[in-house]
Amino acid sequence: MMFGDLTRNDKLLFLGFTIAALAMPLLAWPVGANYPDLLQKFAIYGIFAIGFNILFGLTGYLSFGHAAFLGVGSYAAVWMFKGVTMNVIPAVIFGVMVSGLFAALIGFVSLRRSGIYFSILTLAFAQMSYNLAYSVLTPITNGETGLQLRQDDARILDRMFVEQTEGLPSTNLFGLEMSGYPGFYFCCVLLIVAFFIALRIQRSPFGMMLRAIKTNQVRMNYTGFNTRPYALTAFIISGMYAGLAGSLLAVTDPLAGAERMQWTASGEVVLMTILGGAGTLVGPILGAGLIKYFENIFSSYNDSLLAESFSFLPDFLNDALVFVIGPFVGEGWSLLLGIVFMAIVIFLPGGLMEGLARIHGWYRGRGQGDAGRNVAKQAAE
Amino acid sequence: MAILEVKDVNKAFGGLKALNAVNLSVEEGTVHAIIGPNGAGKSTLLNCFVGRLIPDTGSVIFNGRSLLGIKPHEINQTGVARVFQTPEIFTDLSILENVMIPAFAKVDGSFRINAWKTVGTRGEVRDMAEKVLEEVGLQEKRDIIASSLSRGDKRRLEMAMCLVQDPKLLLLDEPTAGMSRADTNNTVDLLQRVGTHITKIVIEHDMHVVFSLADHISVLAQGTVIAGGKPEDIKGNPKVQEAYLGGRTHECRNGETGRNGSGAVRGRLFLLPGAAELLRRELYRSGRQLRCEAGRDPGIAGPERRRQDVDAAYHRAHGRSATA
Repeated sequence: MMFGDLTRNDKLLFLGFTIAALAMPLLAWPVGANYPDLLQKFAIYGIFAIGFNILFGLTGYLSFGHAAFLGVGSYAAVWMFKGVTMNVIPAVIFGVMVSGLFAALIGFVSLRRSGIYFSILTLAFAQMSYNLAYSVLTPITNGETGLQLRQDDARILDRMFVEQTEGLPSTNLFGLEMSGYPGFYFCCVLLIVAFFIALRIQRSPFGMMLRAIKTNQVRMNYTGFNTRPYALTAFIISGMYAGLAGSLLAVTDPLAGAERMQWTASGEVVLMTILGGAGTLVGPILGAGLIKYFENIFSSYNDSLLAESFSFLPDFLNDALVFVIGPFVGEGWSLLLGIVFMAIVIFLPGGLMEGLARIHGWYRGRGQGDAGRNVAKQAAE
Repeated sequence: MAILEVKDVNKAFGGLKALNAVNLSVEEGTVHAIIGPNGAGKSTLLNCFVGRLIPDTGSVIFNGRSLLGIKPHEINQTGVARVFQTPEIFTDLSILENVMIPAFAKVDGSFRINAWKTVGTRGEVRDMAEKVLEEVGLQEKRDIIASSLSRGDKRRLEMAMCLVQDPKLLLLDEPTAGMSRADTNNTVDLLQRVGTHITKIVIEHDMHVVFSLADHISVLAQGTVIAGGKPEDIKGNPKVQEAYLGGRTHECRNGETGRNGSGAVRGRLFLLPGAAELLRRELYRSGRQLRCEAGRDPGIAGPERRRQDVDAAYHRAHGRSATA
């Protein structure tokens, strides 16, 4: 029932993904990314991107406001920590539910339009949510300071069952603290579950309808489908994925701020998905991992660090290199990201997955010409 | 019994009256052709049946139920399917998926979330699609992406997408427009072979197609039905000849003589619907250049499509050869 109806390729894909996800600390070791804080981010933003891809890659609706759901998930989870218990399960469930409801509301209005108008509507809603969180709803969101845990929070369940300690309590899974590797593996298991659900959706009749909506909405209507509830369902599922990612951000670090809902965060998930390959299952996760990894490296660089790493060069060359590269690291890392993104969109519209498929096709198709290339492309999809 | 009853339908776009008190009755199980010059309102009328346009006044009753103000997907669910003038298919999906999707609409209704089980578990839907693909002759190509099909195959695919739903009424908007002679014949053949019990409304410019398929013909001109009846009645109907041949449209610049559909010589040369395209296509196929005043179609009357006829008619009209 769970796996029986999947094709052999899909079973292999899921198996391979599960192994890769669980072995992420090992895989990330050669590139020096094997510390839990960063690995958690890979998993969390991977979930965010999978969810975004269901709406954008599958259904063809480009939302520019998905960070709103990420933020709502975070706030909801932190409130659960403050009000009920530091156990992460209720917080995650609550975060997903609240952002699902929020998505239903925004989706209901935004989906009255499609194309660029839909994108603008979602952007407007996200910006509205950001401003609400930043100022108007201060009693709920604690404004610019952000929502934090406090010693005197209610924590109803914890006070009944768990002995209170000095200092702030930490998030836990039935006593297991959610920091470091346990925190990563919690996120990792949810990433695998999220991937599995996305795989099932993509292979289901529902997924087929979503792809059909992306291709030709007019035909869908004249074929007897009411497309709006389909798109709304996709929107809600996608919002719930974002909420899950948001609550996991709160699980690994229990505070929520309005900046999480800013338009730059919404733009980031668009970049991740397109960079990896919109519409593919693995691509968005790959894109999320790469962006988070390079952000981690490049944003920590500054001019003096650069000068240090080029110190083996003569002074004038060193200065010249720092002058040229300097603007693209540290604060200017988004400049580099922008250039890479442009290059991808122009030369590899299908993202990294298309790149991989081409390499694979070139490797398999030598001497076979186009046929081999197409086979490889299909295999990669 | 009439399956579709159209009464006093009016539709105006601004000051232009596209449909003017149209009355139409389509008998169940028949093929009903709607013909008429360009701009006569044929497509507008069809759009009123599928919910794309809402008539200003009048009524459209399908199977005892009014179709006015109902959304396109609901109209489809009552059993009306439509083939568009330019094929509307799912270009990014495979042929099989293209046909399975309408089959799902038929089996599961207009909205149902089946997000857990895979498509592979729905063997009955796949069987429906495979059967229709076999009927239209696309089963060999079932795994190809639809965008790579030829134009004729795209039409055939769209037809399959409609047939798989086994509709009560099938609307075909110029099913052979832009097709080669061979593809046109295939389409006619297909329509005569498949879904014979389905009531069909065909809009068509190609008189050969119309006369091979239709049980009943309605002639639309300037938004009004000017004649209706059996094909043989329509052929000889003076009103129809007037609409086609005495019209203001497509008058040839230097036209002096010409032939109408039945071969009779008329005073001036006028254009039957589709004839201009036919002429262009003929000339294109023969690889010759057409010389003609800018903005003017050289005219030819009648369904003849042999090049000699085209050439002869053009010569009579212009006093010189159409080809250089």
